[in-house]
Amino acid sequence: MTKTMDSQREDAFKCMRCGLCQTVCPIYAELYSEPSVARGKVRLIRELIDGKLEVTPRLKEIMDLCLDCKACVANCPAMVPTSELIFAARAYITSKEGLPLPMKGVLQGLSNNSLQEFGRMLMHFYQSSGVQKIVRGSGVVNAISADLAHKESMMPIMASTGFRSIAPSLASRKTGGMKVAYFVSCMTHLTGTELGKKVITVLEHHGCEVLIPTDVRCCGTPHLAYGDVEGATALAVHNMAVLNACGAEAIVTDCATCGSALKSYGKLVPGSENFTKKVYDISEFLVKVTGIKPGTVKQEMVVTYHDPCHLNRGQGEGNAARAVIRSVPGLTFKEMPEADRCCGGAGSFGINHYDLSMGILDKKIANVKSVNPQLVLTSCPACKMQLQHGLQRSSLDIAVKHPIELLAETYEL
Amino acid sequence: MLDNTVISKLQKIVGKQYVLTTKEDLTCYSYDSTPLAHMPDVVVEPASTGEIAAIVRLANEMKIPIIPRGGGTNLSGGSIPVVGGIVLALHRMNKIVEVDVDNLTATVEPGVITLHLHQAVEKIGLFYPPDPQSAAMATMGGNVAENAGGPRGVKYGVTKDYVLGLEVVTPTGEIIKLGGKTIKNVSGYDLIRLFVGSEGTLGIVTQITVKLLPLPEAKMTLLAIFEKLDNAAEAVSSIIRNRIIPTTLELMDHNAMELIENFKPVGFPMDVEGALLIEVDGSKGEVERQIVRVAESCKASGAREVKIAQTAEEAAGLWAGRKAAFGAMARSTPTVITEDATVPRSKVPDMVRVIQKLALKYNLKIPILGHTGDGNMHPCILTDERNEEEMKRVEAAVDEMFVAALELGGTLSGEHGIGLIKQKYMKLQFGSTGIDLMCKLKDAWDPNNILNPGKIFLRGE
Repeated sequence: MTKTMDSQREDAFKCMRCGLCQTVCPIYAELYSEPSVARGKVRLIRELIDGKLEVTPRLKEIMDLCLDCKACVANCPAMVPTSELIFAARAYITSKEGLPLPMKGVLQGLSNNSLQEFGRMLMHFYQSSGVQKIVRGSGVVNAISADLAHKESMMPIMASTGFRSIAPSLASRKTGGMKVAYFVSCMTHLTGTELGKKVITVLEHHGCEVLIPTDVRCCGTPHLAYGDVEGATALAVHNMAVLNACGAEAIVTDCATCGSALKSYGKLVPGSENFTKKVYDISEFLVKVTGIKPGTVKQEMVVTYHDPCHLNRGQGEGNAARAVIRSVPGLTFKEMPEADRCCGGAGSFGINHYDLSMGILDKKIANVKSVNPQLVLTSCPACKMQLQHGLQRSSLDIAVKHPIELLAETYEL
Repeated sequence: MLDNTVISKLQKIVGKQYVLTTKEDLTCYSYDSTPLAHMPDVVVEPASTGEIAAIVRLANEMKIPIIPRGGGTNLSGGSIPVVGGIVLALHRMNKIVEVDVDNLTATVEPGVITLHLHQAVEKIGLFYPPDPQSAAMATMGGNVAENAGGPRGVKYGVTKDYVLGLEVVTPTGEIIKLGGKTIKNVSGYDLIRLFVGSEGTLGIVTQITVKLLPLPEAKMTLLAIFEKLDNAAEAVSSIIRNRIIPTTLELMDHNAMELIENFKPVGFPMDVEGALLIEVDGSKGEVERQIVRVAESCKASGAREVKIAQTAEEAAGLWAGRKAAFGAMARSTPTVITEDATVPRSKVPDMVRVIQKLALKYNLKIPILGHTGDGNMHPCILTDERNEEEMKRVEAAVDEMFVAALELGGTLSGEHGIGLIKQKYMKLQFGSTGIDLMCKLKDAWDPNNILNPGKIFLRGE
């Protein structure tokens, strides 16, 4: 056992086996089996720490069955930090066995901006050149495997130009106001150019001078999720150096997961408080620092909001996003039931466990449908992609946006 | 370990993916909500009565123990495979088969989570009253096996008062149907009563028909603070003498209130011996009349303070403290042992004092929560199961607690069941003759002793 896991022994022991995690775990609600829920996993981790279990394919499979949605953590009477324990177990497994080869490639790709850029260009070519159309029409992917077809159907539409390369030219206003660094997430970089532009618009509207360090890399969450602590730490060190060097007074992100990761860099690199205290989710920043300044263009429609796990439970900022939404003139905001329930996306979980992810997503879409909105808002580009996939699957013509995009649309241009 | 031919026969019955044999899977079915654990040899997840009957026939023939399991939340060790064997995980049988609005019954499979039944019937204005604290995780099969109760027991009774019909797979693999949808049914022995609370030792319940009530129109909540426990007890008696039976009558003693207040301040005073949280339900006019009379009874019995919640939010605020109790305990210590010795309602203050004295004598922290309306006490022993010396003191205190409960005319368990945890006290309550009778019954029913063996009573006592 590594030293890190040893320190988790007491945490694992705190589980009183009351089973309350069963009531909130989205995966348990699909499978109802004990290994799928926190109580089971925490018990296995306890046995692993005590040397009664070894790393086996089944153990890996079970530890992989977690969305990191933290619903069990928020609901645990004994406050067992199950997400941390599972990440620690994954780190232990990776330290023993190394990363599976395909994952190693993906994580390296995410760590390295030029590799990531190459991937984006390949995928963009596939999608825009007509090749995708031919492939989908031919049914060849389905013929190879239905699973591969699912993966192909979930592929996000790649931006024609990565946002990190065009961003600095967009944020050119020297307002003399507060210097704010916009941390461009991989999702926004690769697929969310529109969102990125609007974040800049909104920040400038709030009197900020937007700095966009283009050499930021992935926040490190995928690495941690796959137990690659070393990779995540290297990214944390790099990103902190770049963001500190740009001279920003605050660091803002539009991605719930990135925000949650940046705020937790202290766990990877002790003594990072001066950095982490400057990190804000974009909605949180508007609420706490500048005050929300909506424009006057009315948005007359019914909207609902999906809580990204990493903004709500991860950062405790679900209310900030709602404050932004409520500030939009003309809007009718209807809360959906279980707005804080995970959408089942969870990074690569949706790709690795497609059927399970779709079961979880279908429940989310049913909740969306129950309030009959014209637009779904969510503060995380990854949730946005998953929700879009779900709405499409259910043949619902409902758009998904980040609250900041809607806020930007209230400004007279 | 079971030999491979048994495993492959099980796989043939339920399908390969529903037979779990890895050490990881077995570990996950080795425990319940007690600190006890034992590994099964195999976990089988059947989907139908027919599959269960086939599994039981095989097990009976090969003399392999079978332990039925629902949500795995019981507090008695009842679902722990203490001699190995097959854990029969019933979560795949989770259909609400029917809600019959003409006969006011619901028919469910054993894996249905109790809360899901509550939600399904309440949506159409009906009511299934039993409400164990674990209702959000526990299953109807488990509730029947343990004869689960809950806070509403004082007014509405417990699981056994609602079961009208059962389909059961016997220990020799036959399928029998008992009762049905009729309220009246006196044909033959009342085997339903025998099955309800038999802790999975007499058969595997595969379908359950329960009685439903109309959902009460309204409810109101009140909190009464008492300087003296005797006054709280007098208030309970006075309410009942006034011909009012509240839905719940929850007692918190000083230690419980202090623990809650330190964890989540809700404004409990620290210089009092206890508080009662009382809820009444019924038609709107009736609850308004009742809550006033309950408040009067509390004041007349010497309550220092009585708060009636005027809105649903205020009621939730009053309940917040009680609901925070488990979290407060869980965060204060690694192990919480919740007992459920039960005494006649009038003996509640005596029992509280016994428990408090035992806490002092054995130097233990034992806050008390109780469904005082029905005498069902929940002393919660805060300890650490790894501390051997303290666990010995815990055991000594629990020994004396049960002797006292029986002396006061009570019983070992109000709603958790005997399982493994309370077996050694059974002789105190039943004597050798009683135990012997139970053994004979079990042997007649389950000749090879395959169903949840080693539970409830100790053989040879």
